[in-house]
Amino acid sequence: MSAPAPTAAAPRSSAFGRATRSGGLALGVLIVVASIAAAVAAPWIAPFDPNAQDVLLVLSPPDTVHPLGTDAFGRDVLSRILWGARISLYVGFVATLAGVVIGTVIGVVSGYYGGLVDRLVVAATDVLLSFPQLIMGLLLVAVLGASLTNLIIAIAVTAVPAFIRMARGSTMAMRERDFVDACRALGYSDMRIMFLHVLPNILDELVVMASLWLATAIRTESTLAFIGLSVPPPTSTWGGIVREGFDNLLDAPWMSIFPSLAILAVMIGLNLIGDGLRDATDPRSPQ
Amino acid sequence: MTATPLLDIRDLRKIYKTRRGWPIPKTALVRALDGVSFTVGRGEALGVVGESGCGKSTVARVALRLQEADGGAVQFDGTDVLAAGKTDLRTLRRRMQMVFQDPASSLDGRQRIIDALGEPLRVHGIASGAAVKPAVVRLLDEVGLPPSAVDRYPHEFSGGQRQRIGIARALALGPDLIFADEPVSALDVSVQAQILKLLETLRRERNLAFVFISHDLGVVRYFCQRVVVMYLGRVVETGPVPEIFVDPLHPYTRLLKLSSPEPDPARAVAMAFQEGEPPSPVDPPSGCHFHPRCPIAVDRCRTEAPALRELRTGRHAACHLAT
Repeated sequence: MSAPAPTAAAPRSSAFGRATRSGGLALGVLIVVASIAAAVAAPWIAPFDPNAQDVLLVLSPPDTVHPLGTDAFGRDVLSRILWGARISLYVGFVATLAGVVIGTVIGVVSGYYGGLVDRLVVAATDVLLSFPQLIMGLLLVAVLGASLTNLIIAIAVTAVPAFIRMARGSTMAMRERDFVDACRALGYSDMRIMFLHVLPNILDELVVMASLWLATAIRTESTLAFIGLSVPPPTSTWGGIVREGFDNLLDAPWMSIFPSLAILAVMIGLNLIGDGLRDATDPRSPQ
Repeated sequence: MTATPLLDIRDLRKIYKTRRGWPIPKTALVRALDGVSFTVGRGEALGVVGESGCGKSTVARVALRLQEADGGAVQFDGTDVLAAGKTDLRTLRRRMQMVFQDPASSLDGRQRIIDALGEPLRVHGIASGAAVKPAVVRLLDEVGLPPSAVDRYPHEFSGGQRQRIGIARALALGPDLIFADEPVSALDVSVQAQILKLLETLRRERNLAFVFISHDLGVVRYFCQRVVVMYLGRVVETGPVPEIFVDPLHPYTRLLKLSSPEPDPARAVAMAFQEGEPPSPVDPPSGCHFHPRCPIAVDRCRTEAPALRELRTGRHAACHLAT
């Protein structure tokens, strides 16, 4: 709790102030926004059709026409990365969003009510979390079949237990606070207390974790694409481009290096955002 | 006491189960409330005093159905509180409210004051739309806060101001009874006095009844007309102020009185009693719970739990030896 100051600044502005003062967060936002912008604008800024083959320019190193070179089919790597960003980022965002929403709702309800249902949820969560996240995604895609929707479902499912656990823990901590009892004494419905009072108070932590999970989701998609369990070719995704370049890694390293750098940049950007947000929302961080 | 009390608590019981131990966990029962009975009249301020862990907060929480009782009965103005269904409970909520000890924790930090005080009005259909703001301003005015407070967040206020907001929230639904759980313990002494004066004004103007839970006898003495003294989940003495403090009947009340300093340098604080912590409620002493600390305990106290007996008009004590 903040020091008793009757006329202090509004809380939003102080959190916002802390957020903007941290350079890492700004840099992270810049990288991620730039990536999203590039993905959205791909149809207009990509110099070539990502799937247009040019047999005369196979495995061409970077030059002025193809700034990131071409692949084994003569396709422009830059265009493929830009178009691939659409799939990779889309899958990452949608899967994380679904995972956050489903996991949070289950976690808040389970943590709020407790009891037998809560125990079952915890048990189920523990089972799901005992699988390494990648194995889980792999398993699901293998069972469901590789398609865009299944990929999103698989990655979302791996995110759900983590968010259940987090939302449940935070909700239980909030339940100990008197304001939840005050709400109950005022006759508010459980729904109102859970989603209008508990949820806003745990949102900070959820947003921080979501930004870090977004990085994980994008990485998982890339990994699954690398082992061929993503959207079928010729559609490009970042992991898929790395994989395609892998066969010619020694002759034409640019094919794998550039999409890898794109993945790396987005990972770093999202982690910077996550850390920056955590610092900004932590009242103990230095002013 | 009035003929029909506003709140009638009879033989209230609350048991917490704890499982401890390894490899074979044992279930221990903590009798937080072990047959507590008392009544509160309309407009009456009843003090509930006792050491921490004696169950005084649990009484409020169980009577408000924030926790479910394990036995006994609570009647509020003729309604059975413990058996009330959803609709009845909603009506009861409007008439019984609570003020918490720590105003920093009892207010939702993400809500502006207008929402914190306006929400109960809207939920219970007392005010809606444009009528909410004037109603909130009236509530703020009643607790001595300016209308400009509506757009602020709780953390922008001092502890005393926050407690005023907590009181305003409890008043929002127009209750007849307020459970005040150590409402001034977290505040500075100077602020305590202001809040107590505010509560006293509200009690008179709104004819509010209070169950005032506190460990501070001075505060209880100022604010309450009657006092219930609790020890390890049981009521050991009840009686009107100031008699109960002038001439305590139960040795525990005497201990409380002696250990509460009086602002008089001529009277040194006498610590004639055995000091020490109250025994663990997990495994309370047999017979009278107080006997290990009691200077006048006899064999009977170790085996037989004393019942609450009326020793003077309106004064009860649970002690074999009190007369």
